[in-house]
Amino acid sequence: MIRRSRTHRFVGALLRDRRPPRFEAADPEDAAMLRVATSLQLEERLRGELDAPRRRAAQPSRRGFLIGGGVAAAAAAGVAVDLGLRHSESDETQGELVPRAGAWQQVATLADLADGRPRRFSAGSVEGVLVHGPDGTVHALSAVCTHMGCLLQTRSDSLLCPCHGAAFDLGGQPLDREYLTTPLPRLRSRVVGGRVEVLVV
Amino acid sequence: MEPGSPASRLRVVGDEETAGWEALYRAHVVAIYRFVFSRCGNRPDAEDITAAVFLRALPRLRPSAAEGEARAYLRATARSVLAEHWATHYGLEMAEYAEDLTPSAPAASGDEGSANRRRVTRLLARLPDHYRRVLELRFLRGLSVKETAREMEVTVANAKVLQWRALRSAAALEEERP
Repeated sequence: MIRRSRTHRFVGALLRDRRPPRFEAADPEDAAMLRVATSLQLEERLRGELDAPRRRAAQPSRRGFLIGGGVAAAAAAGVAVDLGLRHSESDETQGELVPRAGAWQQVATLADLADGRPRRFSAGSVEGVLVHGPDGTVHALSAVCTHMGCLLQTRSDSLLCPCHGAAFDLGGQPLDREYLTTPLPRLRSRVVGGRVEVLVV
Repeated sequence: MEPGSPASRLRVVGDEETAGWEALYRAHVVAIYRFVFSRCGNRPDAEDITAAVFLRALPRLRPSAAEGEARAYLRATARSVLAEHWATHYGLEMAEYAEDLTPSAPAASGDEGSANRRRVTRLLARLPDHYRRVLELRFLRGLSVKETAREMEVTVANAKVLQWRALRSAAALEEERP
């Protein structure tokens, strides 16, 4: 049944927060279902992400809106405003967790990371994970799942949430789109004389 | 200059006007985005529609417009962009979006979210238990089909069928409403 599968795909897309497919909803029952599915999408679902202070304004997202009296005017004005919205596409801005009064704290040594596997650490108020890149650099990510807040477990090439199965790559990007996850925030890290330090509080 | 001519669209914009627009945008974008989201149901479309609303409305708004006046104009514009969205992409007349061009009562700005919530709660309350539950888990709590199936202790295939039937019967209830 073509009609039914189209409506089904529409609803599926809504619930995964993707752009639904376009089609002519000629059947009144179809039309009613599109309406009701849409009306169940309460703006409450957006709460939190829109109310969050726009600390990321300094690093506008690639999907930042362009405003003005027309494209030329907007370009001339150079007004691009970061809406700070979450959405489920891969080019999302990754936040950086920088504590207001952070201090560098050693969480591992380079030798600990020699096997190339990501390594979990707890430092003060921060639960994080260290990742040793193939190019020899080290970076740190938050180890808190952005779906519901469980602590992630490390795999050799990914980070996995034990609660619902959300997964992230070692750069912190979500690997599946089933959950409304945003990329894991990065932490400031540095290597000093073989010691790996992160900026935490 | 003829309104709508290319020259008028390319008019020079002064710094003051731009700053006014930016302030207007910042003041209203979140409310308009919310308004649009619950009427198109997904973020990518909501972002595009919100951008279209501002592109269309800002040149016609005086940056000095009172906040309520600007909000009412933006909402009216949002309704018409939404009506176009539904008509263009799905061939649907969303009369309820198109016709209400009157500035809404002041309550509309703050309380709309809870009014929607009450409307949805009322609708769900009229559904049989398992239909209500599947829609709550999927739409209100944002669980995946897999998670929903686990919560309801049914198979994934069952959860999908339940969701389908629940939506169809919710749609039927909505349609029979006077």
